[in-house]
Amino acid sequence: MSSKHGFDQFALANAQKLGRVAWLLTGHSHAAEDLVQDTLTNLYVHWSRVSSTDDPVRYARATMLNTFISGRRKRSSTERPVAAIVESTCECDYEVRTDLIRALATLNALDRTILVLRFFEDMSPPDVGGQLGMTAGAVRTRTSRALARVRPLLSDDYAPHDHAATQPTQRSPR
Amino acid sequence: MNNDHDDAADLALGERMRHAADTITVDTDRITINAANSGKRRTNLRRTGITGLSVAAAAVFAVALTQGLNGAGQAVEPATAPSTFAPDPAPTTPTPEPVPSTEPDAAEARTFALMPEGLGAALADTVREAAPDATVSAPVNWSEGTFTKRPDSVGVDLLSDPFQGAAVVVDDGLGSSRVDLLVADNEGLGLIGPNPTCVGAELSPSHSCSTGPDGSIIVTLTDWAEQRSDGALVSNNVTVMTADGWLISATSYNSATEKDSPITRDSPAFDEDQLRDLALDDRWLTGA
Repeated sequence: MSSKHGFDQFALANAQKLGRVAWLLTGHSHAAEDLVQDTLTNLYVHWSRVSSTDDPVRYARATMLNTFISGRRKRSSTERPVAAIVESTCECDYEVRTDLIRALATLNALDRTILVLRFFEDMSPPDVGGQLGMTAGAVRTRTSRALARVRPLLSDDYAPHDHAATQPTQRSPR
Repeated sequence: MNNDHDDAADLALGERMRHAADTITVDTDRITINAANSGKRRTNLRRTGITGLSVAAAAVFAVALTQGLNGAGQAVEPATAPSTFAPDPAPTTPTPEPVPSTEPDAAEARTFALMPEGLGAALADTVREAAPDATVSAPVNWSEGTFTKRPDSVGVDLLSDPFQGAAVVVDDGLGSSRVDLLVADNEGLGLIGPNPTCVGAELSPSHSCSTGPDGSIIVTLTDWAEQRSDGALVSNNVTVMTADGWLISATSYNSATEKDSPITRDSPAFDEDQLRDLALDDRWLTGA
């Protein structure tokens, strides 16, 4: 069916980007793939609705964020993801990832989502608020508090690394 | 670029995230295939109709959704069908009425008429109209999903499987009785979806399924008893599943709450007819 062919094209084009956001949210490669797959499954079921919207990518992201936030709420508040050991040819890459994931893991699901949207997706507070159903002011407040929490946990000697020169082998072992 | 960042440290956080995530890869081919296969299975289950037991399970889900919400308003997993129902008969091959793939999604034509807090007030008003001599408590309400008040409608992301619930306590002089109402998008994962059917199955005397003139199905559970140490918690429930993918469920108990309260009367204050009127009231949904 042509509509479902559109789904395949959409999924193939966007799964990678969704996967990176999912990895920042979950801190774990397996959980990230599960989150993306659950998201795309939901989109498939509702594809006629999704494909008729102005911005299916925004819808996909909103679905994934809602799934992540609501899924985390149902778990014990003491549960925290453990960063997967990710294969990397660069020791500095491993330290950056572990450092970042451990810092993000100290946040609740909503604050973690806000930081990812603001700093990885580079969205403004009103845009983040629109995505999450919050006011821009609430987004700014939560951002400030979340940053105050993670900044001390991030090493001061971070410097941008030309990771494009490394060979990417970031699949965690199954 | 978003210029609303505070300082260089914040910009560095963004750079850290991109540095950390940019070489993360997922198996897009496998994920796409698996998502499509899972989606096809769910779509096919909804299109080929449902057995009587599945209808019961759906009604139980609706009851579980109203019963199982904790103080934070979060749903528990749907309950499995209780053993008091008749066993699922050997399913006959259903005769599906295929939904054309180009047919517009009819659920988008209607949406919630009220904001979550408004549902409680409207429920209280409706109950007072139905039981004018009874006392009706102030309502409580709960919901999941993000609802946005608009001038003439309520905005909501239907992909988030939203629902609204509200409850009041009615006392008609025979004891306190909880009456609650659930309004939900019935197209979420694990739910029935549009165009549900009562596929012919022998249900118990207290459990029926009928089809309305507009294609909705109405599932009724009466005198459903849950044995407790202090007696039997008895409930009546009517669940309407509309052809355009909505679920409205009305329940009444012989207690002020569905758990953790004494049994206050022999039977719920609202019977099947009153609950059917409540569920079929046209004030819960509005056309676009």
